Amino acid sequence: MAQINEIIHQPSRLKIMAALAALDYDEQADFSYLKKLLKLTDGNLGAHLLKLEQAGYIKIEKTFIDRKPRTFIRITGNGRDSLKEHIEALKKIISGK
Amino acid sequence: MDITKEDAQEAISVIEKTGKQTIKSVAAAYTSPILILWGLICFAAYLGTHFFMKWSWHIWIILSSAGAAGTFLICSFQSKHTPVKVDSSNKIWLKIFLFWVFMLAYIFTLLNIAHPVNGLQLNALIMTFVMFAYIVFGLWINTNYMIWLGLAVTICTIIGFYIVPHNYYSLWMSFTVGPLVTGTGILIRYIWK
Repeated sequence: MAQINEIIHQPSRLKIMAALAALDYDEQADFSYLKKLLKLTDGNLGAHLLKLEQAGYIKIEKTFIDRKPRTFIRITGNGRDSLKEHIEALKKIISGK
Repeated sequence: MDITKEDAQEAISVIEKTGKQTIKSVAAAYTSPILILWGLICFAAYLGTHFFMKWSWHIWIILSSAGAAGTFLICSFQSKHTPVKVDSSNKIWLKIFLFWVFMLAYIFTLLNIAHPVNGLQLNALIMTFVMFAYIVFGLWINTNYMIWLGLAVTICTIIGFYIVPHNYYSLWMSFTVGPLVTGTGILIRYIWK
């Protein structure tokens, strides 16, 4: 039975998961892009990403492109499934079941 | 965890809105500069054709080649500065490249079968077919601006072909299609960010 996921349901983390889930399976979002899209500060976004990574919902990759450090984030399969389950639980609440 | 119906509805709405915003902004990063470039090329090529009809083939070939080169450079630049990295090498660009290759092949085949009688008919045919392919692509990847742009340019082409005096067709296309395409590129870049 689908259950509300407290980690995902936090407002900023919900947006992070929604943004990452909108990408294809082999796509990763840049940290700065996410920060601008979701209007979060560096520290705020970093803290939420760490929480999601610890839960196994996202993977963070630090790399260099043109000798500049960049951080990319992708949602994991577990993350997609957990978000799907969370959405189902929300829909059950809306439908009153 | 207790969540009210309203909170649940709000959460679903946030998920949907954020998802759409993400897709739009990624699309804008990739396609906006390309649309701006091709809008300027259309403007210049049609304007050049109007004033230098004798050189129209050369104008279109040179400017289209410049457009293709410019598109390649934009794609190379974007692949390093894109907000979204794709693991499988150049998957998106390969799809787009193949789309245009197939489209050009179909245009070539169509023109060989249809044999347009003059340059105006040739241009209108090509533009209409390209926009048809653009609309289909837009439907395929579920991107509304491509559908609207495709329809708008097709309508301008039809008006230009059937209503505008033929010796003003290129001028009409220069001042309608060029701004439409460039304007769409600017719109999605700055409004969808």
